[in-house]
Amino acid sequence: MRDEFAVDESGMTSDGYHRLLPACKKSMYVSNAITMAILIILEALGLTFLKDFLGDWYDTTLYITIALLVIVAIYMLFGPQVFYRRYRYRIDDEKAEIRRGVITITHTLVPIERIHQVQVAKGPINRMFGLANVNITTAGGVAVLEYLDIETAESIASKLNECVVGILKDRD
Amino acid sequence: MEEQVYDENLDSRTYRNHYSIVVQSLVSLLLMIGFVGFFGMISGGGFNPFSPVILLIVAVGLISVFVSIRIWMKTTFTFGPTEIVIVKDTYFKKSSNIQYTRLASVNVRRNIINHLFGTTTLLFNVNSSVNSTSAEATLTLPMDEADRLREMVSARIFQREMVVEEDKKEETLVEISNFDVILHGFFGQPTRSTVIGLIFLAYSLITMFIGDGSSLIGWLVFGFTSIVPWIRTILRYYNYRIYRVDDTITVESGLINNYRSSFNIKKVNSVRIREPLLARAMRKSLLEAEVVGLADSNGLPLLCPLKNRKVVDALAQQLVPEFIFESNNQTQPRESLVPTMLYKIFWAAVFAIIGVAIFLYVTNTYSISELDKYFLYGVVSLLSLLIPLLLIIHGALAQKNREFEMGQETFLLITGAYDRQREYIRYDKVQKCDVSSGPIQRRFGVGTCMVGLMSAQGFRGIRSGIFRRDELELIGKEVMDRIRDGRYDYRRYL
Repeated sequence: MRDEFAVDESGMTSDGYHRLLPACKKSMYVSNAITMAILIILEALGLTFLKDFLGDWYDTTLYITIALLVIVAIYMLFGPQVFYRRYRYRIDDEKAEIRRGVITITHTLVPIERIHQVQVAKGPINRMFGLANVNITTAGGVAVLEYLDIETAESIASKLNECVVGILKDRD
Repeated sequence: MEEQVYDENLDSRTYRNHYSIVVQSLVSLLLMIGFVGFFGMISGGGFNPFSPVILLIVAVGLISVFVSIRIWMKTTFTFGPTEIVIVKDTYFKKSSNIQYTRLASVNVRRNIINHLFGTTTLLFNVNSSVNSTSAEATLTLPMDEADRLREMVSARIFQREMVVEEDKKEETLVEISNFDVILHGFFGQPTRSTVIGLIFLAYSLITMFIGDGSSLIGWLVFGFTSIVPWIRTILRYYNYRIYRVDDTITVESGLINNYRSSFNIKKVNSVRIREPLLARAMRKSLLEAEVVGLADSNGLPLLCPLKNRKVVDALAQQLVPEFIFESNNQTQPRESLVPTMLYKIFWAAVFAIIGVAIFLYVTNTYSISELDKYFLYGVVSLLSLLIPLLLIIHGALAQKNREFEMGQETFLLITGAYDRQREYIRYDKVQKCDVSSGPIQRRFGVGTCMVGLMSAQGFRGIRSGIFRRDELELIGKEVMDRIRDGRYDYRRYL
């Protein structure tokens, strides 16, 4: 593992980034399984109903779509592992930072001064595993802290909200 | 502290829209009836004023006119010392307050109805990404009254005394002939739009000469994607003038409808010098600014239509010197060459393989006519030769064109390959910064940076070329340093 993602016994990197809980992988696998099932059903329905329309192209379309599904399945199988190993986040009084990515690794930096809104979002699958996302909205887009345990998500959201309110109070 | 040129104790003044706004909704109704009638006639049905469709449109139209009259009568705009209060006492009661400090611009629009009734429409836009393309308050008044109100509101927003008559005498900073505007309409479009238009033009011509003559769809698409935007641009930017007084920039233009927009330099997030491919070949460029609260359906505020590159550079130095800095032409480093080209080669290979596969499949499966054979050769050549070649050239040009450089107050990103954009972005306006690198880029220690900005049409991400990751990370670091050491002060941008 690259140095920037290596963590010590406390679960933090040398420069103070936190890692996710292993439960996030379960949530991702459930979500991926549902997505995969939907894709397979769509493929089966599509190929059944379009059989006459496709004519001689039916076999070719079948092989191509199956190949694409296999690629997606491989990504969905190994993606959560890599995502978990690489996902790191850090919040302090000035900024929120996220390092993440499966194929492309991205480092996101959001100055707290630019935050407009902080929201805790709990989807049905995440709720099954006691997880939540924190959506950080700026005027230039949204950054999402994903798969945090609900307690951590609420505490981060309230800390960020306090910082934002503090900045606004200083301005008044 | 800046001197306030307005009197905080001034009495509030309340306005109501001019009655011509009701006429405007009536005109829309008549146009719709005319449109339906015209299509009825050309489709052979003739124009029947008592047809159910016309009666329905008239009924809906009369209701909308009634609603317009009610809205006109029950909506008031009160201009107080610190804010505008808009009260709508119609079916839904609503009151909104807009502080002058939040306003980004005061825009003036005069369309045919305005000319007929001697009125002016004032549009007040807030510096916010929500509803950024539509004005928060629109008020139509008789011309002289609108001028007086504009002077008063501008004084409060821009903290300077403003007299509309004197502003009209200001010399434009760049001479734009109407021929320049026509060239701008044609060559100022992104190359992608021009290519799409040309494809449909070619399709229409081919089907007209060798097909069954059913080329109407092709002509319509060509008209809507190329001709209509061209004409719209010409009508919008005819009689173009731009000037700057202190920190206020004013842009005027329009052939049938007249537009005048004023905004403070503090509200500009970034400045962009754009050169579409054909314009580059003619050594021409155009200047645009990202001002939140100033965009309309025509896109970003234009500071200079297509003009000689040197003229545009000189204008940028004169008009927005806060943004421009001397660059050292730092193009993509050598490490970026392999990731840039490999990506293009990969896609070139994908297209080439698809082209060859289609050719083999079709020739082995079907016996095709001579005409279809030419069509097949055309498609295969496009997929296997032309697109891969264009992709490789795109990669080479991107490596040569793209630049990244950091200045004191702004940083420069030069992007594009065929079309080229030089964008000067204020650190203080960066909302979010993402540095990304793919697997091949990581091997060379390079990546790209996407900065999120509040934009004239909501929000926008601007992606850099491929540079060393540690250098790109300096953008976010500089944004943070400026917040930390006080170089960023929100009051500078109020």
